[in-house]
Amino acid sequence: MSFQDPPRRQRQPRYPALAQYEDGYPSYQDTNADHGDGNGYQGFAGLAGAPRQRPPWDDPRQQSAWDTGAQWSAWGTGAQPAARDSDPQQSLRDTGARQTLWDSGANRALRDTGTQQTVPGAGPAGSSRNTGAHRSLRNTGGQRSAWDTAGQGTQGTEWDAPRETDRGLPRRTSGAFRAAGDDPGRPAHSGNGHRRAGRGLLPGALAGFLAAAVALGVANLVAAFVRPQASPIIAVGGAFIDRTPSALKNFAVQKFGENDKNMLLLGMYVTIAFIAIAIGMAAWRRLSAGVAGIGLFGLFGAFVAITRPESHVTDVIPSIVGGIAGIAAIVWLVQAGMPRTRPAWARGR
Amino acid sequence: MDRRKFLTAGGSAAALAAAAGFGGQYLQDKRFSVNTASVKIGAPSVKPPALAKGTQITDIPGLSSFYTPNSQFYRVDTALVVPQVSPQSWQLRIHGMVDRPLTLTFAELMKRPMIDHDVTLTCVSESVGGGYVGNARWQGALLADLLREAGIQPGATQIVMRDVNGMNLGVATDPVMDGRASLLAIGMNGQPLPQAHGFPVRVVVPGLYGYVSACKWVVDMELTTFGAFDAYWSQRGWSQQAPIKTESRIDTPRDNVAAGQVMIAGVAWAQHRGIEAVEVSVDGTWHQAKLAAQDTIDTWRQWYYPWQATPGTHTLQVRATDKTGYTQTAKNHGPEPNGATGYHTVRVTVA
Repeated sequence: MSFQDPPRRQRQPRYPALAQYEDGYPSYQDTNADHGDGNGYQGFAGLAGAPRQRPPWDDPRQQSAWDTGAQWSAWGTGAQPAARDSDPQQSLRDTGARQTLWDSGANRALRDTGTQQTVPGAGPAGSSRNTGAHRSLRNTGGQRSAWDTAGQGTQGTEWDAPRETDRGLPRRTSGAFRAAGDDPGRPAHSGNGHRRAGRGLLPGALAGFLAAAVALGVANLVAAFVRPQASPIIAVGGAFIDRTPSALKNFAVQKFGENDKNMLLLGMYVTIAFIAIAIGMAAWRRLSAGVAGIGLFGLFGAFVAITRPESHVTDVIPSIVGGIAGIAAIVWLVQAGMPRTRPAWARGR
Repeated sequence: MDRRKFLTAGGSAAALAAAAGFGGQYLQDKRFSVNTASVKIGAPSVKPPALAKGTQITDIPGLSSFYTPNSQFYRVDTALVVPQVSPQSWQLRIHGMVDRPLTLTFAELMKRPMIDHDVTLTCVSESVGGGYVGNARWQGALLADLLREAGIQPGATQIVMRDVNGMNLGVATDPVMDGRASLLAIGMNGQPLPQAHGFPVRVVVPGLYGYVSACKWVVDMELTTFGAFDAYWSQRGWSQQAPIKTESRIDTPRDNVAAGQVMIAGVAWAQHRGIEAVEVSVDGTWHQAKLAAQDTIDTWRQWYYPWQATPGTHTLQVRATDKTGYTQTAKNHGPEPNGATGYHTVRVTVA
């Protein structure tokens, strides 16, 4: 690896008592998260296991004592305070802050690296993180050069534009799907109007939609080897017809005429799409929720199929196989969308 | 987030879903679709009398044809996918309140005397002026004969008919057995039944709304009583017995016409009673319409009235009188619970 570590100086952390916050939680760079964009710094909200006690940079009451937001927000805009370069602590902070703006799994690792220089006053995160540093920096040359650039106090434009990949980051999930760089409190780019609130919703929605499509498609395929009425959409639609109130049925027959069945199917597909999108969004945050959601769908289809009049035991097969395919699809899609990073347990902490 | 990887996976998932879904549909059609052409509709055992001259009016544009083509025949049922029943596997089981329960195969059915009979079917969901009514020449075996062979018991007031999906319709025994041409039909307008219309066998009972009688894909008949079993639609608030109400419809004109002679034309039906007369009202004045010749009393009759249209907006209405002397009521009522009533009213602008 051609990467060259930035110079290190061994110093005591400025806030040794805050070392507890270093691991996995917003590092000190996050203090200026608002950046004046009004998006709000969410701090530790929503983080599983976040300490109840607010660190000083997160506590409005201590805000003035901790830092002045103005200088920090200036960094994110790309304005380059000249004085900062002369200040090693500042430039290091700068590095870290930009790394925070980076997206993706390597990002936090890189950020960690940055903060781990125990420069005086480098902040609470700046303690011992040596083991992970090199490994986490293994990733890309882009970050490396970025680091170098930052270290030299010149700012590449790539830092300033919001990375497209910055969108769609997952929130913290459990286990192997815990993603790095997913702190909700991570600062947004200043002035770019980038909203963190929608992060992960679009890819999650897409994943859920596609997983449901896979489930229904595979179920339809399997139904070709059982019988068409065993297809879950047909079984559920038939059950719906049987349970439709007369008023609604009359309305459909009068309004849509002999297209009433197509309208029913259309309505079902739209409903399923909405539910699937919700499931996908949930899966993006917690994969088990997606697995459970699609699985319940499959079981529901199987239950309806087998309770139809004149049904056969084999009618459950399309729903079950389709459900399994849908679960596989949601797992696959969510994993594909997750940052390529080592899970927390493998980072050697 | 690894966008490229995610999009690749998403594209693959979409392709998989589409391939499986459409491939599955193709396979379903290929594997389960039955060929209606395997049933040959021959000449009937009893040849019906030739249609009287003037039974079919064909020269009025916009008027429904006397025989509704199979492709245009209305379809109202609860089957989300059209059941595919092979004639080779088709069986009709007759059981319940019969002395000799029997099972009939399609080959046995085809050996029975076949009758051609013209019957106009009507759906109870037909609102006044709607399109859920159609006339066809049905070919089939007499259901009453079959039930007599099975030894129908006197107390059996209801025949519960089930289709291959388990859908059930309940028809009163009396109209089936009273001599009218209630058919186990295999042919429609000289063709085998289309799949959507009950291939290979459906029930046609003249004079009753379809929801109590016209069971498609029928595979089971259980003789029982109305007290013992509530059929699908009567569980949902529709009447247990439902003879078709005397009704009439204006087919043309429906909107704007040019001044001068305008042909007001349409159809009127009062199945198994027969249409006696049709009257047309122009702005409240009733005129006698001319009727096409009567086919059977189980079919509709076309009618027309030449009208000298004057510029302005006019209200046209129609009412029919059946052969029992009953004139359809002017009272507007929706289809529930046993058929809609009221005069079909059309407002036209004459330019």
